[in-house]
Amino acid sequence: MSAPESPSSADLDAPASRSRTRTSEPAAPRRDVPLLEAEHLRVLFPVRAGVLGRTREHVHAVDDVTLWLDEGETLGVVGESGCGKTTLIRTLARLVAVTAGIIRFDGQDITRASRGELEPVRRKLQMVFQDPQASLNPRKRIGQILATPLRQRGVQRAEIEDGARELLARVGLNPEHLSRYPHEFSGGQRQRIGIARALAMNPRLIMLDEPVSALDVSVQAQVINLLDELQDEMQLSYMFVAHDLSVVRHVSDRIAVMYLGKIVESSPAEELYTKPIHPYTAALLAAVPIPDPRENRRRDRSVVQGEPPNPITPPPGCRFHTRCPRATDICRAVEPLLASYPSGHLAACHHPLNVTEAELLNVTRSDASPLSAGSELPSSQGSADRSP
Amino acid sequence: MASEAAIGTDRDGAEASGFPAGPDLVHPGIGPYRLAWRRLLRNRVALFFGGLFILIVVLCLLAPVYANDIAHTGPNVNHITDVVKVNGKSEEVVSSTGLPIGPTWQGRFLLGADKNGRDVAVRLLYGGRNSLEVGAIATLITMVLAVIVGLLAGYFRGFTDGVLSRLMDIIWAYPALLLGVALGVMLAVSGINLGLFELRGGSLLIPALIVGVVYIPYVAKPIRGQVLGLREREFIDAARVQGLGNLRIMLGEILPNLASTIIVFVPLMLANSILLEASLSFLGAGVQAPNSSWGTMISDGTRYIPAAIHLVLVPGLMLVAAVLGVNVFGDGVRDALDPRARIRIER
Repeated sequence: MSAPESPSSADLDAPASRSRTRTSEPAAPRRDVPLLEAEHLRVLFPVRAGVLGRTREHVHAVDDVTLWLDEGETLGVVGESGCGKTTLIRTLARLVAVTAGIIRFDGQDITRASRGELEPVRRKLQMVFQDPQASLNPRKRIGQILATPLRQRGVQRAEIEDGARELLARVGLNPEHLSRYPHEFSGGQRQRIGIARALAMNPRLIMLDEPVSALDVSVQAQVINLLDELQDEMQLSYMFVAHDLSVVRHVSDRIAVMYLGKIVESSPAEELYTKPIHPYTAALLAAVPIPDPRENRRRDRSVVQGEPPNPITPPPGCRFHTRCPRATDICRAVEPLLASYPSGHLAACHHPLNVTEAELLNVTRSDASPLSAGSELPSSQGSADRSP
Repeated sequence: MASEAAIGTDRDGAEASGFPAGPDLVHPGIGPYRLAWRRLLRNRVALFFGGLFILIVVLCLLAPVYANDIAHTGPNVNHITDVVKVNGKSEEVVSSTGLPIGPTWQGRFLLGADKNGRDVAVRLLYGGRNSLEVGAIATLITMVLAVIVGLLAGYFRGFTDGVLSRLMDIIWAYPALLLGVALGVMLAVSGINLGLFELRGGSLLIPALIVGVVYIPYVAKPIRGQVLGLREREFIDAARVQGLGNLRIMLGEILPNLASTIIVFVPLMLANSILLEASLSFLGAGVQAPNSSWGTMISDGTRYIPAAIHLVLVPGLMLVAAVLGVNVFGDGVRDALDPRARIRIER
């Protein structure tokens, strides 16, 4: 999503204009094809009711999401619990069936690929799971857990044990622990084993599904540093899902914010923190605790009230209007398009924050906009009454 | 203390990259089964009853030795007209009124004779072999089929689950004993002939097959439930992300997690199978004459109560001892494998 569109808005609609957002590496080889790409992806879960199990309604878990991830990049995905971010990442890893839309890996359409066709993709696309306890088979030794992917990759029988030792050393564990069981490790160690298992396939992209949210804060930092080192060493790309903006900030090049199955804002990582455009992003940022209690109390909290609406019957128009302090009539009627602002910043809001009049005049509709979005470009009336 | 500090780093400090290299600090992993074995060894009661059951099994296996070298007779040899010396006095094995001799507490007719003058002790051991054999084969049939049914139904859900679960419900709808008797009356004497698969009437495999099939749902249902839970765990997703197929996930990832349930069910199903076999044989729908089993011996003996009560008491007590032994041992195994588990067999 965060369509890295070039700053000049003239050629925004041409897909070739996507450029890498990492501005510091101008010499990096331009790739025309992103590593991972999703177009208008939808995942609906049927809700069966009655004796005959007829499907009456659907949970809109992921609703028209368009995003892409370039090689070597880290894309952070944040949102409240239940906003569909885990479903999104599991769908991209082809663990959940796609209702509509297209997934491409390295240019190849894998939306409906069979298990055999997926095999080469599986090697390059691995996943690390949220609960390090549940993601390791409790009846298997660490050596066995790591041997499975090595065998899948075609490593010779004689070299499997050495390979597993090497993996353990790589993630900072004692290679002698191969014969131990998962229950003999701490949470942080288990997550390291989960990372080692993903590395065993020698992947290019690792999907990280809240990899640190089950860990202590001190251990979180160590695991994140490990991920960072591995990315540099092995030229990995990450898709990093979290419900916590402060965690994502350290690792991401770009960040996408999800709300109720849709992407509401995406931008280069730092810009999202300094200049949030969508009111929901601003609310998420305001909820990040500041370690100093005095400062924490002093800051302005535009706290968003209540729970997200039911994803079975999402509200019409902008999905956030039921909780948004800036909502007006248009928000209740028309679904906002994803508008592209300078430096590849996208936001789906009729009344954006932190935008100048000049920027508003140059705004265009992004390709990543949901198909059902209206054609109205964001207006300034919402931002006009903003207190200075 | 330097050594203690070193151990500390080794334990939780995964986190640290500099772990101590001393090979003596890295003990091999202790698996769940090793831990369970240690807990079982601490459970004296379970071990005692397990030992009791093993003793009965060994005695029954030694039946030919006892018959040839001590009792000098076979399980189906009649001694109606024989005379045996007890404490120097001669006594008829079967009196003129048709009453068999009671326990003599010596080599021949240790536990008395039955109405045909057959040695009860010899028949008890040979009958025990049949009872245990039927129980063991029935348990094997139950466990293998129930695990297959439970795995398939729980893993694939949907249509497969619907068909298999309804099939189980059909078996479950009948009381186990009633279904067993109905099948036994139908099949035990006439045998089974399905073309390639043929069992002659009177074969021990027929009661084993009946008992085994009747108990499948009692094991398949809990296993299906466990598979339903396991398939949602993240390590199954991890296996799928690695590209493993359904068969490898079922056998390589899920089955090892069912092992403790299976191990717990084996002794419990063994006890139940032995009991059901005894009930069927008692009613004449199980092991057929001239073969004996504890059930048929009790059945034969009921006509001589109270004059020759040993005919009922001896096989009855043996049956109780065997079933109790394996049941208490099974409970101990369950407690050892999962101290919090509450696997119960619904009856």
